Amino acid sequence: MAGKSHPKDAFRVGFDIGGTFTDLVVANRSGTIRTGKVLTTPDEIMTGVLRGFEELLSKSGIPASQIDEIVVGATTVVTNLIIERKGARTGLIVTKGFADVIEIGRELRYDVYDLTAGFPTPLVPQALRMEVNERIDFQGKVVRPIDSGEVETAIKALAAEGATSLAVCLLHSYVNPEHEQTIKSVAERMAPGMYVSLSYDVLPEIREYERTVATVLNAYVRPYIGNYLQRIEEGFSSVFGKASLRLMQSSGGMISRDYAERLPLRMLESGPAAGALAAAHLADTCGLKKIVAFDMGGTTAKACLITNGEPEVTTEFETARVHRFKRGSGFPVKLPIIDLIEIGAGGGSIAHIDQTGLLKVGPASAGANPGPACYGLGGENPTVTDAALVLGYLDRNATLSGAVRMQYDKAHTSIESKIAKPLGMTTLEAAVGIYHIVCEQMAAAAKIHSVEKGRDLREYALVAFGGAGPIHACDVARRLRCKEVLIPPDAGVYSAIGLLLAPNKVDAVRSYYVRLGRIDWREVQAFQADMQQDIAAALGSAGIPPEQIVYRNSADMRYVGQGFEVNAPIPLKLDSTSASAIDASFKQSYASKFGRSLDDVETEIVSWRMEGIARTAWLDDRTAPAAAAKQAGKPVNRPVYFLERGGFVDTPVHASSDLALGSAHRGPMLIEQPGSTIVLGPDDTFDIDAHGMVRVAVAAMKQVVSSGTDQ
Amino acid sequence: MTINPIDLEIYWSRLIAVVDEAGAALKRTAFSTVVRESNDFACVLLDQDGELLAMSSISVPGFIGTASLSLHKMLEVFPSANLSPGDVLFSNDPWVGSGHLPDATMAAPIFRNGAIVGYVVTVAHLSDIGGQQWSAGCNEVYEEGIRFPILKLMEKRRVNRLVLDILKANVRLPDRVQGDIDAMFAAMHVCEVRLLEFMDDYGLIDIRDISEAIYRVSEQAALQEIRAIKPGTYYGEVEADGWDTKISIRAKVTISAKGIEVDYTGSSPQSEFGINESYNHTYAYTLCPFKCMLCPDVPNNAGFTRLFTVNAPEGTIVNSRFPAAVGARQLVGHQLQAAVFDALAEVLPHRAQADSGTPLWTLVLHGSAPGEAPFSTIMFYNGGMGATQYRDGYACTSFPANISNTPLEVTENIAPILFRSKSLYAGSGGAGKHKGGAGQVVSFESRWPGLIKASLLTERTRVPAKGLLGGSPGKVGFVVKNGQPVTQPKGIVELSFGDVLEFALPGGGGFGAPGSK
Repeated sequence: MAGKSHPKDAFRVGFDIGGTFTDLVVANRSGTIRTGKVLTTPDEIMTGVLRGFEELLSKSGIPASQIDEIVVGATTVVTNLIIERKGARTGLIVTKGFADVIEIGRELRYDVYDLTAGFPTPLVPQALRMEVNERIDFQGKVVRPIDSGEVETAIKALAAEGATSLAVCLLHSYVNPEHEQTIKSVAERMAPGMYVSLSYDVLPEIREYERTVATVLNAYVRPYIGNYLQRIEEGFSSVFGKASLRLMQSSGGMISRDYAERLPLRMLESGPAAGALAAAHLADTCGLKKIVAFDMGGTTAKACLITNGEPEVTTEFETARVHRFKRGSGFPVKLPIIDLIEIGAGGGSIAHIDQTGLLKVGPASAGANPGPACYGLGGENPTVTDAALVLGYLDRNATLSGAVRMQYDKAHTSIESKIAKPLGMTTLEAAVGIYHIVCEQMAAAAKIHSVEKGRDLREYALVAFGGAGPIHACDVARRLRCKEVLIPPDAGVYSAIGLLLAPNKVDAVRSYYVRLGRIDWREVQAFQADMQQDIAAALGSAGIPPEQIVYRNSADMRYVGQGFEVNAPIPLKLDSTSASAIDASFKQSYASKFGRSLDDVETEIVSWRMEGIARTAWLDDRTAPAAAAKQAGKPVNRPVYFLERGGFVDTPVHASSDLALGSAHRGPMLIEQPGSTIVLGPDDTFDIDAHGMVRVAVAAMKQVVSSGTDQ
Repeated sequence: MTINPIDLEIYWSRLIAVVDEAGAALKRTAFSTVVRESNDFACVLLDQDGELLAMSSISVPGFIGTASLSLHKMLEVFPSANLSPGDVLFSNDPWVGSGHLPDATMAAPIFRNGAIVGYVVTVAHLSDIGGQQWSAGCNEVYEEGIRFPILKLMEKRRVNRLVLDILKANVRLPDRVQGDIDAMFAAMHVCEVRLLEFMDDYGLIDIRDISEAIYRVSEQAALQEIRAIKPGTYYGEVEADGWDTKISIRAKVTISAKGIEVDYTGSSPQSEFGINESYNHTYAYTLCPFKCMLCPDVPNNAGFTRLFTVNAPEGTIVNSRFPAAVGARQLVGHQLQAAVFDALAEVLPHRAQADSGTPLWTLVLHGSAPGEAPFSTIMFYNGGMGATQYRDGYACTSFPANISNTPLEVTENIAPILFRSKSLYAGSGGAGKHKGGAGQVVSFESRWPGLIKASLLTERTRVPAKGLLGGSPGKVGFVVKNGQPVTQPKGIVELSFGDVLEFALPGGGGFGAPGSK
């Protein structure tokens, strides 16, 4: 790989810029990994990032000269620009007659009974939508040629309206992009400063609404992202010498800065993708084939199924939802993305009494500000964190980010006045209820997700991370009937490690909608060559030579007459002899998802996908993070509530550095890490493995009905 | 036994997860397009007495409470005392199930320690049921497909092959229908296993106390809303095109402190064509607007449904007599909400919604020509939703059902047509303090060498969606072939190469007088 020469133990850095915090990671190839966390500085983004690295490097004793040239990043900036509607003034050019497609959408409601359930306003207002009189049919034949004079008029009008970015989405452009390309060249001539996003480049797939929305979203953020990435790369260069920025994509692959600038929409979920890769790595390290990654933070919990070492990838995703946890309330983004569900259950989720008089938790969240009542920052509502404090899971003497002290009384008062009194129960009963209800909600959502994927969670181990994950992990696992729970050291920032585990990866897709028996193989070979060329060029821009690229082919297929597709691998070399292999692969994938396949219905292909991977992940897949040296320490005890024991139990509390590698233990116990606490129930047994991971054999759920009594 | 509000919340969540898991299994494995894309199915858990305990959350409203009605009819034929583990009762009779033949209903007892602790019912719109699909043009139910009376499709876990063979011999897509039936079996299995696991986890012998507690809190939540409405009798009416003559649905809504009664006396007599409702489907779509107004967030169960009495006189369009044709009963069923909202607009202005450009329109295109492979495709389009006191109606949005459009590019890949436009129907939403949602105008030309037969299922081309409390009605829809109006927009239109069919979907009604507060 290109780069300046470094000593053998060079370190690479990664960063994940979130709305509130930025996670940092630095690691060398022999597996020394250090992580850090710093407040995000949104106005001068590099101020916080560089300050954080300075602290982390000096704390770890790593000189800046040992830092590798390549820097890998994830960011929430794309999502934030869209949600906050701070993107560019974007124009849209479409085929004549179809300017309203973006507004009409799919005509579905996302809540059956809620009459107030509205939709996101299109990012391009009517005045910025232009139609041109052209038409290409479904086979790519030009029915009506494009008139460049008309295109000029449209672009002039958009420039006059102040558009700085242009999205182009013409009907059937996924089979024939000529007309879109004509518009691009006219735009480059007429309005040289205008950014142009073609649907053929963003999402060359059939289904005009979804393709238009993706193209518009890409155009909307593009002008901002170029500058943003440049500032980041320059910032690193100024400290580490020459720096070359790589970005994480939602699909879990690394891409070059150049590619990310053209297709910023690919970075939409870069942070969660890093988390899934970190979990997959952990599974691999521990020799587990099936895990469910469970990442619970302040606002949400995320669950991701990882089967045979790879997180599942989907093209079903939405951004900017009107109701964050309601499917169908946002803009669809049909790009490859690591498949995870997001549940409105985090440390800040608010407990309340609903219309039926029962206790509910979330999805409303107190967030970081004002935060849970116990933060004492003005939050009045009882949250999941307040319940954890009352139950003893969190230390009432702990300080928060080094400054704010946990205020037990505020947590107690808030649960008492808002929940316990109205429901006629003790504060403790209410706190226990909050804890169990939030766990039950997460378990229910994960179960339904797994059924949708055709998986059985009982065969999976649960890997917990995020600030609130380790507190709830064992209870959630019990409800899911998972037998094992794993919690990595540094669970609070563990996901950032995924940044240094990502391979260089670019994918391409073509829509060629055809029944298996009627494929024109020369056409297939032509677009396959084309996709391969696109991928090689994109990876080339990240300095990857063609011979290092490994290609994988897959196709989205279905039985004729169905409305959704199943992705299945297909051979790399495709010709007239491939049909039976393709059909067999489809049937196998279908059966593994749905339990059966059919023999007498024809198979059809909707989309053809290719993926190019250069496995040059910084941390070799089999290198586990080495555990830090242990200094045996004595636990302090405190009373902690366990439902299984019907009350408070005097429980040993260890710092994570207290427990020797290879040692075996039995709950009840708490293990405190920086930024999170592991709660181990009285019947759970666990050990600390060679990598410092806590591996819990989860006790089965007890038959319990009563919620317990007060202390 | 009293159950504290925390335990009850956890039990209830578990029970809903049981049916939602079953629903996810059904949706993912079924072949039927409307099951997968439009949630035209339900997985329902009922208590030991056959009362509705939990219903899959994403199901369309056409199944609110119908599972219980269907189950009770089935138990009249096969009394519960004679049922064994592994028995599955089945029927697609419109008057047993949910109003038309494609909806298959299955019910199975769930045994624990030798006793029935509950029932699972699944309903799904099958891929095909023979007869004239998607048509309102039949005069008797016999023309609409094959009909199975209440029978045992499975007996002690053995499938009755004879029934399946008869079913498969009478449908166009036997393998897909078999796939749908298997998906229903799978969903019922999930439901049974998960309920029993739940009972194991909490050491429960039965679910009587839990069910009754869930009904009680749900009932109380709804009653609290009902008691805030001024008691009395309110009258609402909605008119629609009907098949050949205008139809009228009259709803007399009586609110009391104990519940709500809806009486459809005075509604049009049943039609000679397939737009007739059966009681069960009328019942479900009558409860739907109340659900929207009173407690949209409370999951469906008997605590809610038992507050309602629905009286639909036999022989009317809302409760037709066998063997009426019922294939397109949604053309009437989807209008019922408007009659209810209309009745309550005066006393519940902040909850009501003006009528929508509903129901969705359906176009089925068939074509055959010498030397060409024949084709057939179905397309759905939605009009505008009605306005409320707080917002404009949403443009082109499915209500009260929930069926999405088919992407134009997908349709062009299946059918030899070229779309010319798909735009909002400007000005079609009724004026008001808040405007009705716009409908849409769609046009396409035929590129087929032979004749395309386009069967149209339309509504509101003559009678508009009416506004509420001073809001204006939306514009009606229309169908035009080569610039000439099509006189019967519920029939078949023939298109030759180059012919252009243009159609406009109706807008929703406005709410409140324009400029009013």
